[in-house]
Amino acid sequence: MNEQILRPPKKHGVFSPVLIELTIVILFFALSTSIVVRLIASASAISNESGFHARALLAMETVAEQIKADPAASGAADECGVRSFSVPVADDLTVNCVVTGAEKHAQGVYYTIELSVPDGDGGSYTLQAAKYVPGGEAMP
Amino acid sequence: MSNAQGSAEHRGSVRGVFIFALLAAFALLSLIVVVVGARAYKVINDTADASYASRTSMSYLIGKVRGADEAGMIAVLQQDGMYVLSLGGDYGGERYNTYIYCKDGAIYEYFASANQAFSPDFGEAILTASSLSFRLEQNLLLVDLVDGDGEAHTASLCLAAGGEAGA
Repeated sequence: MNEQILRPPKKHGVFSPVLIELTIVILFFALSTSIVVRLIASASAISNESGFHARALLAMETVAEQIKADPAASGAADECGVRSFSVPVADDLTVNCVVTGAEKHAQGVYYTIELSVPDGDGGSYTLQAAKYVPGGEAMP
Repeated sequence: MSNAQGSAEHRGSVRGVFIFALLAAFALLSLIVVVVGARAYKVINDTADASYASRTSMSYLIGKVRGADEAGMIAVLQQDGMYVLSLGGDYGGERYNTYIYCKDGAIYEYFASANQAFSPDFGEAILTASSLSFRLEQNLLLVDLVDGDGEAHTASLCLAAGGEAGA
């Protein structure tokens, strides 16, 4: 009994080697996981942006072709010869159009078509097109 | 003596449980990350497929129409309830037509002499699609395409040939 009392108490280390090793391993894997999660989130955001970009481009091309078919639109332009309007294509996709007609050539009208789609993050996708109508009348 | 031993054993078992819980939590979180990653991968693939379907099929159709955009060379036919886009061209003094139509879940292309009757059975499959229709409104060709996943795409084409395209 006395020997037991005199013997210094056997202290178990607060940080056992196994626990430290496991903690290091888990920290390493946690770090790897955080990087993987960021990569996944980034890939998903890029994919969404790419999909929206493809839709926006197709919508802008379609609207540009429709405007080219009738650029004057029965004289719907303002006094500066500019026609500005929006074409809703989907709930999250609206094409803003600005059509400018100018007599750049003597025998026709040169229409400049500027299209843009806001991407929702403050930026926008833009597309420019032009249509020359020989013998046409310039917008007022 | 026995109390000290019991306390040490208890501490050891608590530590074991703690380590096990830590590993289990980590395994669970890893599983969640893998599931989220798989889902993101699927979404990315679906988006890429949808973009491929819309861009590739529309680019193909628009390119074909642009190549045949001359007076009297473009016509929209209806045969057996399906829309057929006929694109004409002169080769060696003889007129040939390229017919584009949708049948059995695919867009087909059939190139033949204008003297030969159109037969949808001889076409060559180009792309996957559920339906394809064309409308010719003066100088505007409207294309409505539903891809293999059921997503609808619409495109318009202003024809340089104007209203002279045969309808």
